[in-house]
Amino acid sequence: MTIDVPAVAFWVIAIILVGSALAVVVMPKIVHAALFLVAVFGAAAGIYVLLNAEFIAIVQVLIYAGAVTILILFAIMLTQNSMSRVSNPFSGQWWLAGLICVLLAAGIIFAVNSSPMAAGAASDALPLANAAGGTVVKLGQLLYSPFAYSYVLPFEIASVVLLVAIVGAIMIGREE
Amino acid sequence: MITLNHFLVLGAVLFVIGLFGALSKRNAVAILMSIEIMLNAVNVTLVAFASAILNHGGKALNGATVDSSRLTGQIFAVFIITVAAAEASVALAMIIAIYRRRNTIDVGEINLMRW
Amino acid sequence: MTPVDLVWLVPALPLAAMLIIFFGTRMVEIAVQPRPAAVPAPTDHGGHGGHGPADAATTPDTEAGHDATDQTAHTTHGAAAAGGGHGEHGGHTPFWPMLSSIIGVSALLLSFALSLLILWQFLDVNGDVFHTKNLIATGKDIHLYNWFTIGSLNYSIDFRVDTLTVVMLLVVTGVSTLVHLYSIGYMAGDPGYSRFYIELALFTVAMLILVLGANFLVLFIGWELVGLSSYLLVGFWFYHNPPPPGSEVPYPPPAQLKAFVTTRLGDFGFLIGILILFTATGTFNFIELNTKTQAMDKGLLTLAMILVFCGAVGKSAQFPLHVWLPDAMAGPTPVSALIHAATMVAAGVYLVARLFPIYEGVAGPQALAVVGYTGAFTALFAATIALTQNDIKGVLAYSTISQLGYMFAGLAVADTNTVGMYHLFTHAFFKALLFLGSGSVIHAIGAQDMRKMGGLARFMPWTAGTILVATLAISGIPPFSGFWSKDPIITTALEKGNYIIYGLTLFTAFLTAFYMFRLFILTFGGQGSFLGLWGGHDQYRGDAHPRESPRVMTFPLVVLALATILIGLAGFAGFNQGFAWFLNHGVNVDFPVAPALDANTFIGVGAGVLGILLAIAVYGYGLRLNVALASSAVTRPIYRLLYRRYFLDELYLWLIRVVVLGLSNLCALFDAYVIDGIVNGSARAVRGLGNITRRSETGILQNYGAAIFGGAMIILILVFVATGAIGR
Repeated sequence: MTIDVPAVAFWVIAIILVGSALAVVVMPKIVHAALFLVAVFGAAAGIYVLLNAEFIAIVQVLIYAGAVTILILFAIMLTQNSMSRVSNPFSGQWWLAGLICVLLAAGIIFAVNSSPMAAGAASDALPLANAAGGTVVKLGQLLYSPFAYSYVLPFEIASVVLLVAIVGAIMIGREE
Repeated sequence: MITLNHFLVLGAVLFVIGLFGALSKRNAVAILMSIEIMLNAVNVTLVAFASAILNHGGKALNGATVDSSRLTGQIFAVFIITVAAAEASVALAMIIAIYRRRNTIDVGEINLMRW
Repeated sequence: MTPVDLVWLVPALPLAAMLIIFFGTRMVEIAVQPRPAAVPAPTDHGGHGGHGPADAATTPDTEAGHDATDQTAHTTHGAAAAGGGHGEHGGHTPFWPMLSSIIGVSALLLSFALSLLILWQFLDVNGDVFHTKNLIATGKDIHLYNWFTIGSLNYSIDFRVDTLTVVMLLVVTGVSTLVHLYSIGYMAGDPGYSRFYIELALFTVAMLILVLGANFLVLFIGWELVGLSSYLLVGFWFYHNPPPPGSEVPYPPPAQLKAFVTTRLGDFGFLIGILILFTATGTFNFIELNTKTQAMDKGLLTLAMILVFCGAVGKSAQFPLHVWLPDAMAGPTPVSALIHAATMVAAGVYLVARLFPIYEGVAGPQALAVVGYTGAFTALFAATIALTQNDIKGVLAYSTISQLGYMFAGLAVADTNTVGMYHLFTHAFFKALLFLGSGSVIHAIGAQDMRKMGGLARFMPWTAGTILVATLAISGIPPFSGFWSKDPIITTALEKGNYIIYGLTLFTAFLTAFYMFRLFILTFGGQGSFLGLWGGHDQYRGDAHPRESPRVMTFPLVVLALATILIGLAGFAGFNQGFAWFLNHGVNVDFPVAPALDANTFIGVGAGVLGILLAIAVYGYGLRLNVALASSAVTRPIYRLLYRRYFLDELYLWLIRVVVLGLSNLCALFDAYVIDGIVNGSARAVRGLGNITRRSETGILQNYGAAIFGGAMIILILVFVATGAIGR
C-alpha cells in the first residue's frame, strides 16, 4: 500500500484551512483572529499548489498573507481602544446567522454531490501537484501576451481599478 | 482519491464560515476578514474547476467543448485577488474614517439607514 | 353635378361666412378701432334696443364700456344715440361691421338660391332639366365621409335630401335670409354687430345640419349646435344690467342658461331614445330605421319613440319644458324671430315629422297619443297664459308655444306628417313676420311693454299693416295662410273622432284670435279708431317719438306679408294639396281641403271671428270685461294664475331648491363622510401598516445581510423541492 502523498496533503491542508477559518470567526480577540487569517491564507496557497496553480499560490502569499494582513493589522492597531477586553464579539443575531449558514452549507454540499455533473467528470480523480508541468508560463502568456489570445486589456483595467482604489483610500482616510 | 467534489465542498465550507463571520461579528475589521475568507473560498472553487477542466481534456463538465488552455478559472482568481486587494484597502480606509468620526467600529451602532 | 349633389354647400356657405367674419372682418374691426378713452362706469346697461324698462330715459353712451372687443362702433354710436334717444337707436354702422353683415346676407342669399334650385330639381319629375327623374319619390343620400368604424358598426356623416328636407331648407334659409337682412337695421350701431352676425350664421348652419342629417348622429350634432348657438344669441346682451324686480322683461344671462339647461333636460330623454333604437337595430340611419324597427319589441319601440319625443318637447318648448322660450326673449328680437320661426323650435316638429313613419306605422299608438295630447294641451295652456301678458314679445312667445302645440297635434291626428308640417311651413312666415314687426315697434319706441304702446299704426303704417296680415293669418281667417294650415288640424281631429284634441284646438283657436287681436289693438290701435284697429287719437301711451323703421327693416316685413298672403291665396288653387303631394314623395294623399264649405270649417273660422270680435269689443270699444275679470273676487285668482304663468317658474325653482339641492346636500354628506372616509381610511391604514413594517428597516447592515442570505437559502430549498432533488 502506497501512501497517496497528495491526498494526505489535501486532507491536512483542508483541516488546517477550515480550522483556522473557524478560529478567525470565533476568536474573542481581534488580533488572534488576524493571525489565524494569515494561516487561512497560507493554507489556501497550499490548496492552489495542489491544484497546479503555482502562480495563484504565489500571488496569494504575496498579496493576502503579505499586504492584506498588514493592512488589517494596521486597521486593528488604529482602532484598538474602541473595544473592551473582548475585541471581537458576536452580535445578537449570531444564532440566526449560524442557522442560515448551516442550512446554506447543507444546500450547497447537497447540490455539489447530487447534481447530474457530480456523477461524471467531477468524480474523476484530480492529478494533484502534478510534477509534469505547471501552468505559470501559460498563465503569463494569457495575462500579458500582446499577440496571442490574452487578457491583457482586462488586466490593464484591473490595474486602473487598483489605482482608483488607492486614490479612494487616500481620499477617504485622510484628515479633514 | 481526491476529486473535484472535495474541493467544491471545501470551498462551500470555507464560504459559509466566512458568511457566518460576516453576519455575526460586530467588529467591522472582523467582518472584513470574514469577507476575505469568503473570497478565498470562491478562489479555491474557481481554481479547482480550472484544474478539473484542464485534466478533463478540454471538455467542460456538462460535455461542451472549451479551450482548456485558457485557464479561465485561474484568470478569474487573479482578478478576484486584484479586486480583493482594492476592496481591502478602501474598506479599511472607510473603517478608519468611521472610527475617527464616531469613535467606534461596532456595526450595531452604525445604523444611519434606520427608519 | 346637379344642385342636390351640392347640397352640402347650403350649410357650408353660411359657415364660410361665419369664419370669414370671425377671422376676417371682425379682426380688422378690432384692430382698427380707436383705443377707447376712459369710460365712466355705466350706470344703466338696459338701454339698448328697448331691452330694459327705462329705455327712453337712458343716459347716452351706456354701451361704450360694455364689451372691449365689440367696441368699434361705439365712439360714434354713443354720440348719435345721445341726440335721438333710443327711439332712433342705432345710428350708423361703421364700414367693417357693415361688411360683416353684407357677407352674412350674401351667403344666406346664395344658400337660399341653392335651396330653390334643389326644389326645382325635385319638381323636375320627368328629368327634363336636370336629368334626374323622380328624385321626389326617393330622395337622395349623400355620403360625406366615414367618421369611424367599430367592428361592424359604421358611424358615418351622411346628408339626406328628400322632400321634407327641401321644405325645411327653404324655410330655414328663407327666413334666415330675411332675418339677416332685417338685422342690418335693427342692430345698427350695436357694439357687438359683427359678433351678432357670427352667431346668427352659426345658428343657421346648425339648423341646416340638423335638417340635412341622414342619421341620428348628424341630426344630434346639429341639435346640440342649435342649443349652443341659441345659448349664445339669447345671451347676446349678457352685459346688460338686470332689470328691476317685478319686470316682465327677462335678464339675458340667466335666460340663456335656462334655455340651454331646460332643453338639455329633454335632450337627456332624446339621447336615451336614440340609444335604445341604436341598440335594438344597430343603425342611426332614418331610412334603415323605418324597416329595422319593425322587428323591435313593440313596447320598447313605443318607449323609445316617446323618449325621442322628449327631445322634441325640450327643443319645441312643449309643456312642461316650455319655460325657456318666453325667457329666450332676452335675446335681440331678430333672434327671437329666428328661434320661433325657422330654427330651434321647428327642430322638434321636424324630428317627429322625420320619424313619422315609425311613429305612425311601427310604434304603438301610445307614442302618437303622447305627441298629440301634449301638443293639444300645450296649445291651450300657452294660449291661456298669452291672454294676460303685457310684454309684446311675451305674448308672441306663448303664441309660438301654442302654435307648436298645434303642429304636434296635427302630426298626431293625421295619417301623414303633411298637416303638421304645413302648419310649420306657414307658421314660419307669419311668426317671423310677427316677431320682426314687434322688433320694428320695439326699435321705434324703445319699450316692449304693450301698456306703453297704442295707436302706433298711424306712425308706422307698414309695420302695422304687415303685422295685421300675420295676426289674421295666425287667427285662422281666410284667405291668409294660417287658415289653410290650422283649420285642417282642427277638422282632421274631428274626422278622426278625436274629440278631446278637437275641443282643445278649437277652443285654442278662439283664444288665439282673441289674444292676437288684443296684442294688435293694444299696440297699434285704440278706442276711437276704425274698429279700434287703426291708430286712434292720442292713443299712444308711451313717451318716445315713434316713427317708421328704415326700409331695410320694413322690406323683410313686406316680403313675409306677401308670402303669407300669396300662400293663402294659392290655397284656393290647391296649393296645400300640392304641398301634400310634394311632401308625400309625389303621391297624392288626402289632405283635408278646408274651403269645402262644410260646417266644420265654419266652426273653426267662426271661433276665430268670435275671438276677434271679442277683442275688438273689449279693447277697441272699451267693454270693460278685462278689468272686471281681473278685479272680480272670483276670477281674480285665475287672472293672477295666468298672469304669473301658472307659477311654473316658481314651482321649478322650488323643485330645484328643495329636491335637487336637497339631494345634492345628501350626496355631499355621503361624499364627505363615506367616500372621504374610505379614502382617508385607506391612507390611514397604509400609514399604520408602514409604521409597523418600517420596524424591519433596522439600519443594521448585518440584518440586511441575514435577510439576503436567508432568502437565498429559502430559494435554494424551494428549487430543490421544485425540481424533486430532495424527494428523490
